[in-house]
Amino acid sequence: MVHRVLWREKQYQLLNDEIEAIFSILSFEPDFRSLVKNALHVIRYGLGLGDIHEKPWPLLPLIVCEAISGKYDTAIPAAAIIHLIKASAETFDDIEDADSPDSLSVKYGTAIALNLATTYLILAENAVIRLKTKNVDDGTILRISNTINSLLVIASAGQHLDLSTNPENPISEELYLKILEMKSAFITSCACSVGAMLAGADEQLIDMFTEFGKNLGVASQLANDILGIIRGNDIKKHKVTLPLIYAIYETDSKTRKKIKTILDRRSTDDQDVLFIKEVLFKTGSIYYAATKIELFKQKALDCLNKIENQKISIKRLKPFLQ
Amino acid sequence: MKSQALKTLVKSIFSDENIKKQFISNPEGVISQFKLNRNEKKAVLATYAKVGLVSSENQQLDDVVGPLTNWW
Repeated sequence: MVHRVLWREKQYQLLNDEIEAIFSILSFEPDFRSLVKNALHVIRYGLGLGDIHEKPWPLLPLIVCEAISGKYDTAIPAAAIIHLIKASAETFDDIEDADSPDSLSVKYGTAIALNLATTYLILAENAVIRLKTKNVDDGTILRISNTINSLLVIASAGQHLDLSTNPENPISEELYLKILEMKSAFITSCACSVGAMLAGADEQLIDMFTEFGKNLGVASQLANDILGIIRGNDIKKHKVTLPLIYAIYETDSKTRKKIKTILDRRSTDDQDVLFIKEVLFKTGSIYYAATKIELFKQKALDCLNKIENQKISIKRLKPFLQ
Repeated sequence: MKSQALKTLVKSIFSDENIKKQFISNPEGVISQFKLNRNEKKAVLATYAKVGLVSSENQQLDDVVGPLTNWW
């Protein structure tokens, strides 16, 4: 346990230092630099040393890189880039969905939040060149830049699909999972593929890690969906997630009609929220979603087993699935 | 990922008390009557072992999904 704490502390510290270095470009305007830094904490993207019981998501590129090459140093700028991209995506998402009370748009207003989201994205793009400080060759830097940008385009398209759906006409499970892969799992698949590239992995291995990251990301988002139901906040926001999709398509017509009436009214009444929550538990919608989480975890584990067959240690990757 | 067999299984368990009882006493026996693939079978059994049928809120569910939630 002590060893585990130490490596995490060290890697978090290095990542923190890297982000500080990226922010140094804003030194000409200290107040703005402070805001950019402090805003990360508002959206819980400030890097502490991490609770030992929480998964070290921001360290994923380092962990992948170390698993393959035995070294993680080259992946530090990449982890910082991905962290800032995630912060940017989260901020844009909060503005577009207008559904989070802890968002930058609520704290500072939409205009400042938009500017902060854009700043995180530009700082991330600008930081790609910092891979040079780790002696990464130009070809790999270009490839990483292309990978990140391609995934960002896919995530934007996924967000567009999500924003285009109508809560009154819920989407199919297939489309919902496609959107999750595009807009939610992109960050974990990106973290894994970039980590593998920086370790000098071959194409086959990079693909295995990318697939692992994608399945991990979908499982993780489905877990968020269930938590959103347990806490009731997703029901209040009329957010149509997998348990609700299952209930709408698979329950009896009377229950389905009542759910749709509540959604159509955009009710936030506690009784309505409780009704939907109970229906989701009693009809097996939650059980179904929990089973889908296991399915994606299983697929991710299959990837890890293939990776392990290549004599690569998966001991720091497996805990992400627990 | 199409999963009609999985949906049919879950629907049957939660809408038919007899199937539910059979599933609780012999999950593998009930699963074998549905055309689930290998991963689906494993997922159904793993979910049942970890959280039961979760027909109401329970701590085990929180314990299983909580740590997996994305990026904090």
